Amino acid sequence: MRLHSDQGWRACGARFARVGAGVVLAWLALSAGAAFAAQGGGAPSDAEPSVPGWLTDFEDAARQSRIRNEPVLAVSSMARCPYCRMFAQTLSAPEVREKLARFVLFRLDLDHDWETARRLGVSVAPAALMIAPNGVTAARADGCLPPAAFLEWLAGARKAASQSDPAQLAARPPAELLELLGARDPVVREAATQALAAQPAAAPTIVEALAGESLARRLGVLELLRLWGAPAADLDPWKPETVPPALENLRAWAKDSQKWQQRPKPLAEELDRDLALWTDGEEGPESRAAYERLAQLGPELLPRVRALMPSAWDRRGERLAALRYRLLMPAAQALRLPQAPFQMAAREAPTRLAALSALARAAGPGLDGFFLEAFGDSDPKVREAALRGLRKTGAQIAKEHVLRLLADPSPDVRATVLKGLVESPLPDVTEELAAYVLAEPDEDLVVHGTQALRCARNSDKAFEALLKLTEHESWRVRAAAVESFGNVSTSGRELNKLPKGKNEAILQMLKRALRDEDVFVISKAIDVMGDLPDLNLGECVGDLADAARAHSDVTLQALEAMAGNPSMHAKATGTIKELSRHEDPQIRAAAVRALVAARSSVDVDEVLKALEDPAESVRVAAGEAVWNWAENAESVDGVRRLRVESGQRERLTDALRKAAASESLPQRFSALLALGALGDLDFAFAGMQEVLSKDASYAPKAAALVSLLPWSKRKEAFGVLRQFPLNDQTWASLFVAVCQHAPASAESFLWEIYEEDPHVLGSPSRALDAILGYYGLNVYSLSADVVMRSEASGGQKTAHLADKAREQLKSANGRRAAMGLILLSRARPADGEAEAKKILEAPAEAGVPEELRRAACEVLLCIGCPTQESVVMSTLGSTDEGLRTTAFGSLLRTYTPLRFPVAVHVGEEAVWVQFLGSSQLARQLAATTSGGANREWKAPALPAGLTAEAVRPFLSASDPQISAGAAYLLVLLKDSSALPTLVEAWRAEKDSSELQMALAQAVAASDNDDAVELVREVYQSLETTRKEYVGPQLYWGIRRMDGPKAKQLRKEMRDELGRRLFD
Amino acid sequence: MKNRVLIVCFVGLACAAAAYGDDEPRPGGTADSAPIADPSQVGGEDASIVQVANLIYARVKSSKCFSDHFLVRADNESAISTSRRFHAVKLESDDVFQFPFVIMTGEGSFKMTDKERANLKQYCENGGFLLASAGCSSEEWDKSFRAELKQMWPDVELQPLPLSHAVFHTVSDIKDIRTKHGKPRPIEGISYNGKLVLIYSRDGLNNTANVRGCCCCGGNEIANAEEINVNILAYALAF
Repeated sequence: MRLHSDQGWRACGARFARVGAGVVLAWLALSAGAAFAAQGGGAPSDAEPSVPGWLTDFEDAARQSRIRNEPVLAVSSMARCPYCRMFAQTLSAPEVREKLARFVLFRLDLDHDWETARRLGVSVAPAALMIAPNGVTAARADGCLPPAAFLEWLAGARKAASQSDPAQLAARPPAELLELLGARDPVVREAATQALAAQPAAAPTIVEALAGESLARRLGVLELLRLWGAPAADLDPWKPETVPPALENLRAWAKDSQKWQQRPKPLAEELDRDLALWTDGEEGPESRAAYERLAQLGPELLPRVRALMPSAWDRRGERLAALRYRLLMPAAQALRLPQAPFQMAAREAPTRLAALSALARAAGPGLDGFFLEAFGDSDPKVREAALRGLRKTGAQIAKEHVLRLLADPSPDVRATVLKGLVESPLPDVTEELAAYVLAEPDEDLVVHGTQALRCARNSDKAFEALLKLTEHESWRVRAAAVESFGNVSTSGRELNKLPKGKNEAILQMLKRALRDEDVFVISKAIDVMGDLPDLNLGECVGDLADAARAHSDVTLQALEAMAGNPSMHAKATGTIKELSRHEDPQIRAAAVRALVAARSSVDVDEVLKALEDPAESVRVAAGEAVWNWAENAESVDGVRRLRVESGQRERLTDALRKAAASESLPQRFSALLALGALGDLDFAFAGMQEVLSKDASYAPKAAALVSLLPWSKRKEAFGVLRQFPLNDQTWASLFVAVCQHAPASAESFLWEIYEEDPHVLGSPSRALDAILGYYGLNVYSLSADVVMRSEASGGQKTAHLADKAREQLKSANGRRAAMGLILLSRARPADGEAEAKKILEAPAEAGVPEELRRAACEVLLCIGCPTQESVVMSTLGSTDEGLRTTAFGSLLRTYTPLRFPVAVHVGEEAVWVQFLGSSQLARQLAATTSGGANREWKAPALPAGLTAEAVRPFLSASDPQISAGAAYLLVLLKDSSALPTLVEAWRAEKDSSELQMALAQAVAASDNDDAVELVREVYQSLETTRKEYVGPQLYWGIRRMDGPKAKQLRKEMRDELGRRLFD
Repeated sequence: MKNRVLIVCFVGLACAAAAYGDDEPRPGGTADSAPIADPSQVGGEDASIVQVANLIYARVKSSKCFSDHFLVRADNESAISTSRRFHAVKLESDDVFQFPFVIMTGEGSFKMTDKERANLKQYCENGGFLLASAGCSSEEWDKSFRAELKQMWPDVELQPLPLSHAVFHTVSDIKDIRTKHGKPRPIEGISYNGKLVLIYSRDGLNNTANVRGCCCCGGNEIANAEEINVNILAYALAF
């Protein structure tokens, strides 16, 4: 569609078209001036369009148009042209100026720029032209228009220009594009052809369109088929009778996914002509069409284009640069961001940066070549952005690129490479990386380099380099290098393992670092010592003690390290005792803690000395040290008792009682804790009440004391403590402490607390833990495997729990009964299921509490029993949103790799549960869908009656896990349009192995070979160690696919993962 | 503030895409593969960059676990040209005065030395800007930091900064402060001679999720920290 306006508004003729028209123009001038004045136009004053930012070079305007992907608004004008002055006023009107910002503005001077006028076919002034970014004139208005009319024209013209915008057309469905192939407007037809050309999946539909009656569409379809290289030589669109014989052949061709590779190559002269047209031709649709044709050739044309690049930057160089980038863009991305290649060819670095940022945001498979090309940019920020973009594509950066980028002159680029290596280590560059780090002059980058080497420290080269860096001249580097030895294991933990036989080297490094002139480096060495529990550090004690004495800043750290590593205890005791006489009370306090921790029994003399210390903090530390010791003390009937050498207990108790009489609350409290740990419970508890009456903030710690008390005292303590304002968490901890090892007689008391206490009810999950603890069980002893074994062997504890749970079911209190049902379902899933069914089937007059009825429904949804499927299906239609979500979550747990947590509610609060049944069913399901020994994933048989319509509402759920799960199920239900939602969920949480698996399986279920690129993206985004774990799952996930891309990806996985695929 | 403190022309902060000068024409890569720029093609790091320091304080506490992602974002979204890496600087040394913007974070309690307090006070009162953040919402760190501030400025209190404050409207318009869970506590600041010289968040602006080897499981970190940090950097350099 082209807009062409001649609505009675007047114009002056261009010089070459004006001959003999003077009289007519004079008359027109008079009538137009009168009309415009009548509409409020002022006296014309200036022939120039007065809006700033008008370009006067059409080449420049066209270039800007491509870069911005905005149309050019061209306005012609002449000197001594009254209508031009009028039109200038139109363009200056505020409402018009506001709209003009969305265009590239070009002023055509008809007095001088005849060449451009000829090219654009403009012979009058004023005239307005809307030129689309692809060079096609989409609309035109000759003559002067007042603001309102001009705005109306502008809106229509913009729409016309956008109709040929590839980005807009690409968003349209193929059926609409097919219609446009028959459009009368050649601009629209060409754009639709280009948009469809990038959609091979539409080929069968396109072929069928040949049979239609419209000649125009047949012509358009044939053009597209020729572009694809389809076998259509015998087809004459003007002769409908030639269509049916050609159709069979074309249908067979359309099914062949290899058709892209079979496209005929253009003849050499065609190629030369197009290259010349693009690089040297006039601005306009012809040259742009040549660019698009060349773009179809893809990377194979790159060497030729690179060879043509001029040594100096000029118009030709800019166009070749744009083509170079376009050749590296996949069709889908090029349709979405057609301006990107032109932006990359722009002189301005910010424009190139903007292009890379936009592409990085949309980064998908196939863009790695584009980003790699940008590594050659002269601007370091562009190179850095290219590297970031490349990392976003998930592509593994080749070793050669990493090494060349490490030699980049920009430190920021090198920093980005190093950060990338920290996030995605490349084992095969370790040796070169080690050499680079040792030679890098920028100390900040060396620090980054140590972090990258740390990821590869189980290699000899990395280890040696790090060791060398601990002697670097910069304290920053030494500290980072020393720190890189932290959190490792010299044995056992494979991921953090250091090379064998390096213990001596580490010890020597630590000793040297402890003598470093810089205290920060020393502090890092001490940190590392705390991270090396497997290493015998006895040899380092001397240097550590020297450091502790020389630098008060690290003394506390040193004391903690001495206390923390048993290999240092024997040698360190003397130093700790010495430091317990240090002038700084903080150090004395730390020393007494370390002394108690480092001895196998409490050193009473040292504790007594500390209890007499003039500093309160040291006296408090003494009591706390004894209390902390209780953590490791022996437990007798659930009550821990400290082992103190005979004869010393009385001395210690006396001293602590004296300390407990202090005016200082912290000292009193710590002494009372210590007395509790020693078994002086009556005294401790009485004192505790006094402290609490003065300051209730001690309550959480006091609650911890409860577990030390015998039952009779514990019950009393509970009664006392509940008078104080405690938060729910402290209450729940208190309830757990009360329940622990309580006698059988305590049962009704505990259930009453559960039933009545609002704090306990506020934390039902913790209450469940507490009750399980009371019955001698815990969440681990009720894990699926244990329960199954227990059931098989008639386990007494679970049987006892089941009996007790049944008793609670009879309670009139809904919450208590609901908890009973949860306990029963955990201990005996089959009984829980039967009970839940009975509850749901009970008539209304049975008076089943509402909380219990809801819990029963949720139990059946979560338990994974045979009934589950029917309950899920009926609950999916429930009006209760919570129940509906639980039902859907249950569906996800059973039929997808997504482990959506399910919960049974007790009142308003959720109890997170993992019932035996669900895992049992999942195992059964896995057995029926895994295909046995070859591990190939097969789509599970979904519940009968589950329809896409029932699932689709969950696609827009606010919980991304729910919407991702809905997308997965929809693909299984043959609605592949939901796949992007799953892709989006994975992109938002790329490390989720559940989503990685779900995406691979959904791609397999869609059986779309092109979508395999998504699985490749997932695979390439995995870090090395994750690749070994997740890679085989992805491999077996798409094992059933037999398209060329799937086969190619599996081959690459086999080459890389080898035997791990079968582990 | 010398050497590294070459602050770029920074006019109109709200305008994210600011004016860059045109480059010289570029021949671009012409090799068949791996078109990496030759070292001779460019001249190394631009001199007009801002480098941010992370402080080592209490002699041995380092400000690690603070994401530097905001530096890249600041570079992309504003006219600030940043170096992409922090430079560790001891608060006790005079090196700190070479940086316009410093970061201080950590967990657990700490105690600064007299020299560190004097340096930090002098730094903030003479044009420097401190962004302080309690790592993973550490209560102990918060307590220690407040105690240190009290020693440095006995008569000055940290003031909550309302969302209408200019600092929230430099590069981006920050409409809310979001935390991982629960209600965010206000970001606070101290002004000197009418200019904000210190910003502190007790929830944490560390953006720990983007720091390799660090995690914040129990804290209530600010979720849109990256965006806020870009604004703070812009404010610090512009006002």
